[in-house]
This record gives sequence, structure tokens and C-alpha cells, in this order.
Amino acid sequence: MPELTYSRVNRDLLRTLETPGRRYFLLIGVLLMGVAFFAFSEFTQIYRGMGMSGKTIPVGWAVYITTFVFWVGIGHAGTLISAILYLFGARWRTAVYRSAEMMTVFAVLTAGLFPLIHLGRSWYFYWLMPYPNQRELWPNFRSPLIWDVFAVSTYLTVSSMFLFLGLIPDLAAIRDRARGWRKKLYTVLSLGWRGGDRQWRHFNAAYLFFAAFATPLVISVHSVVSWDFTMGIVPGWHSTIFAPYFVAGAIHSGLAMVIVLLVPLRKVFRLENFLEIHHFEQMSKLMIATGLIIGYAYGIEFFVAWYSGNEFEWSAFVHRAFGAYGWMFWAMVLFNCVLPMLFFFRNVRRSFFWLVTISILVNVGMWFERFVIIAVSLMHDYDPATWQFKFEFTWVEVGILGGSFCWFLSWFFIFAKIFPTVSMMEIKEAMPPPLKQAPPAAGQGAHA
Amino acid sequence: MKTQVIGGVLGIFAHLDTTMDAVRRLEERGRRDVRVVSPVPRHEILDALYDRPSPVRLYSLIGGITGTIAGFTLASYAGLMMHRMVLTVSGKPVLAIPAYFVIGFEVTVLLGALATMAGFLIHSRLPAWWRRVPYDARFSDDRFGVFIPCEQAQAPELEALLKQAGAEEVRFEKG
Repeated sequence: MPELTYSRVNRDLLRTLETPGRRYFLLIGVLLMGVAFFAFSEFTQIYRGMGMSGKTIPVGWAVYITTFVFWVGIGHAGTLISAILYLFGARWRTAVYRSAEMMTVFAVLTAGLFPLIHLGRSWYFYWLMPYPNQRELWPNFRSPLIWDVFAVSTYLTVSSMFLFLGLIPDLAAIRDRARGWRKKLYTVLSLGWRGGDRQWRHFNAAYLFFAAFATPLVISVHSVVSWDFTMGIVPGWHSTIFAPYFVAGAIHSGLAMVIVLLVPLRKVFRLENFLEIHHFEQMSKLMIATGLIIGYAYGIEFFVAWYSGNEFEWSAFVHRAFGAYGWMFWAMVLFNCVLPMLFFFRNVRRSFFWLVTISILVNVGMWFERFVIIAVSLMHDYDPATWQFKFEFTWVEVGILGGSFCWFLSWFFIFAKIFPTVSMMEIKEAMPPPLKQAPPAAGQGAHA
Repeated sequence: MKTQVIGGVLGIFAHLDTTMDAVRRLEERGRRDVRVVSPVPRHEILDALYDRPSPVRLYSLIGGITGTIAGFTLASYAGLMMHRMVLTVSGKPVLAIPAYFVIGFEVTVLLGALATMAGFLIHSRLPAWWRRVPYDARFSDDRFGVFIPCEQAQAPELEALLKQAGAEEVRFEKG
């Protein structure tokens, strides 16, 4: 394999932006059909009413809020890799951070749809915003739902700007090689960047401060999401450990999603020189840590429910494990806590088959976890008269849930053809600079 | 440093060390207006040209402080307005300061990040679609550039200096 040079990095990564083949368009076509079904399901719900979803008393929060929490969580690994690991100086993040950051933006974009879908009359969502109005009504800032509006919209704004900031030098590199309409597009997007010393000086400072802002932000966002539940007095919700528990779970599922996205991307875009097996190993090691944390959280939740002596709390947890959706609880324990422990074995960590299989199951498990916490707790609250109720999924909910994956993947794969999924600038920055006196030592390349 | 130039000499280098050599030679001659273009940020270049950190950090600080004040003010104002309407919620305090920490924090991050972006764009002079600057498409690939503003009469001397330092190509850029 020829040694990596600055020029080769540009050449190899710009190749991924070339006109795609028929299979790419087929994939996008299938995904857009899923998006169309997503839209059809939502319009059916709007036209025929909220009865088209399975939500009913006592389960007023179900699939949509579960999916909202799931997608917000997916985004967290992107910020962990792009911001937190940047501050810690983890060099391996360089190759994977761009894809992870793109994933964050599109996951949060997807998550943002779900509170609107859940509202039913989505067109009144602006009532959540604080704005002067004739009736002089203001949102209740003591409510965690308003905290959530601020947290998620801040997260989407900051993540989008952070992604764009890191893209600017790469957009200039694409501009310099593009022709026709693409040149015009990248000229506008790159803002006239030319890589002068002044620009790099301010770029470095801005990037550092964005990472510093994004780090506490990412922890706050899923903490705030968890407070949507903990501020309520529903048995199974009212817990003080939810914030760290949700943040660890978010990173767990997000890392799994990064692996699910990057393994095929690596193959299709021929990025083997950049996305090496050790990058996936690092992510799977992080998943061991997050898997252990949430395993501990699952255990301590049961202990606290039992130790509290609160009959309703303990009854809710017994129902969680052995009630109508007990199978979902045990599946989540298996997928989120047991299977990731296989990553302790080096052979499993270095097998793309096992990496993808376990990661897909972790994502399934994390959706189950959110459903078990949110909907299953509501099935078993303080009123024993409702304890026989079993939530039933409807085709509209399944269509919206499945469609959200198509929506997310469409954004990701369309952007993967417009913007480089590996940062050219950061890969080059991690390489030894071209020197006349002392040429780079052999073997030094994209081991970032 | 002044950058609205009438023109100048642009040297294109293949190596970082030769680029730095050219910068040193120019500085020895008292030139403080050297501009360096590179495909990646290099601390060698930035350390040689700047002895103070970027002012972008001040934007982050001011944006963050403004955000904290704005977040608490917004939440408190909304609470007071609702109280005026005699809409006390669940008998809770009109000004629930601990609850407002969440809003204060989120708006701190939001305005801090927006101000950081603004600081970056202002000081980097972006967008700059219309600005004509000495540039070569190879700078975004693997080449380094050194630009010195000067009159055409001074160009031959500076061109010789850059070539001596190791420039693989030197040209005069009109303003």
C-alpha cells in the first residue's frame, strides 16, 4: 500500500464524492419510499386523529416519546467523539469524527420531529416557544418539557455549527478541484476560505471553544431529557439516577449506531486506509464501559425500588420484569448489557460481522429500554384498576418509527455524497508534515 | 496587520521547513507583514507569526455571560408575567431560581457558541467570496504559500529570497 501523503488524502477522500453508481440511487430510492410511508402515516394520524396511535389513558406517552429519546441519545456519541475526545486529545477520533458528527446532526433533526408528532396538532408547536403574544401567556419555565425545548434546540444549533465549522477547510479543498455547478456550490459553502495563517489561528480557537461548549451541553441534553420523566411521580420514573443513566445509555446506543453506519460506508467508499479496524476496536471498548454503567444502573434501579419499601414502586418493577412486556425487559438486558461484554474478546472486537451484529442489537435494546421505562411504567402506576391494560402498537406508530430510520439514513447517505465523511484537514493534521530535511518515517499515516 | 495590499510576491513551497525558513529570512529583514497559507493549521507557523492568542475567546466569554443573563431574565420575566395574570402554577414560587438554572445553562451555551462563530467569521474575514486574495488551488492540497505585500519594483529581490529558501515557484500577484 503506498504511503499516505497530503495529496493522496485529498485524492482518496474526494473520490468518495464522485457521481455515485446505480446501487446508491437504488438505496436512496428505497429510503425515500420509507420516508413517503412515514409522511403517509403522519398525515393519516393528523387526518383521522390521535386514535390512530396506540396512546390512550393511562399510557399517554408511548412510541413517539420513546423514539424521541432514542434519537436524541443516538446523537450523543457524535458529540462525544467530536468534542469530548478532542479535548482529551484522543488521536483515533480523527478518522471517525466527521461521520459521527453528521450522525449527531441528523439524529437530533429526526428526534425533533417526534414531540411534534406526539402533539397531534403539530402546527401549534410554536406555543412551546417564549414569544410576546396578545394573551400574555408564557411557557412555564419550571416544566422539564420547556427545558427540553431549550436543550434540544440548542443541541441541534450548536452541533450543526460545529459540523459546519470543521467542514469549511474541506469545502475549500473540494471547491479547488470541482467544476461547473459543483464549483459554484462549494465556493458559496466554503465562504471564500483560503487557509491563511489568520484564518487558521481563529479556526483553532473557535474549534476549541465549540468543543468546550459542546462537552457540557451533550451531558446536559440527555440529563434534561431524563428529567422529563424523573420530575413526574410515576413509579419507575421518579428516580435520581436517571441523568447519568440516560447519558451513558445515549452514548452506548450512539457508538453502536456509528459502527452500524461506518462499517458499510468503509466498504462502499473504499475508506480502508482511513477507517481501520483499531478505530472500531476503540469504539467497542467504549461500549464495554457504557454497557457496564447501564448494567449497573439496571441493577441499582431494582435495588432502590425494593429498598425504598414503596409498594407501588416495587410492584412497577416486578411488572417491568414479569408483566406483559417482560420479554422486552429481558431482551434489553441481554442486548445492552450482556452482548457488549463479548467485546472483551479481541476476536469479537476485530470482526466486522460481530461488530455490526452486536451494534444493531444494542440499538434495538436501547429502543426497548426507553419503551420499558416510559410506556411500561405508565401501564402500572398508582391505579390498580388500570394494571390489566396492555399497550398495543398500531400500524401508524410502526410506520412512523420505521420511517424515522429511513428519514435519518436518507439525510446521512445524501450528505455522505456531498461532504467528505472523513475530515481531510484533520487526517492531514495528524500526519507528519512534509519536510525537506527529514522525510516522514515509514509506517506513519492515518493512524490517527 | 495590514492586508489590503496593492500586490505582492507569492512563493509556493512543497515543505513546511522550507516555508518556515522563508518566514524567518523575511522576519530577519524586518518584514512583519508576511502571510502564510497552508493546507492544515501548523503550530510552527502560528507560533512564528503570533505571540497572542486569538480574540475569538473573548467572543465566547461575552456570548456565554450574555446567555446566562438572558436565560435567567427570560425565565424570570415569564414567571413574573404569569404572576401578574394571577396564574400561579401549583402554588409554586413565582421565581423558581433552581429550575431556571437549566434555561440559564442552555442559553449560555447557545449564545456562547453563536458568539464564537461570529468571532471566528469576523476575525477570519469570512465570508470572502468577493475578496481578491493571493491564492493557489494547491494550497488546499499539499502546498504552502508565503506572501509578502510589495510594489512591483521590490519584487525581484523578494523573489530571489524565496527561491533561496526553497520555493518551487515564485510569482508576482497584482493587487
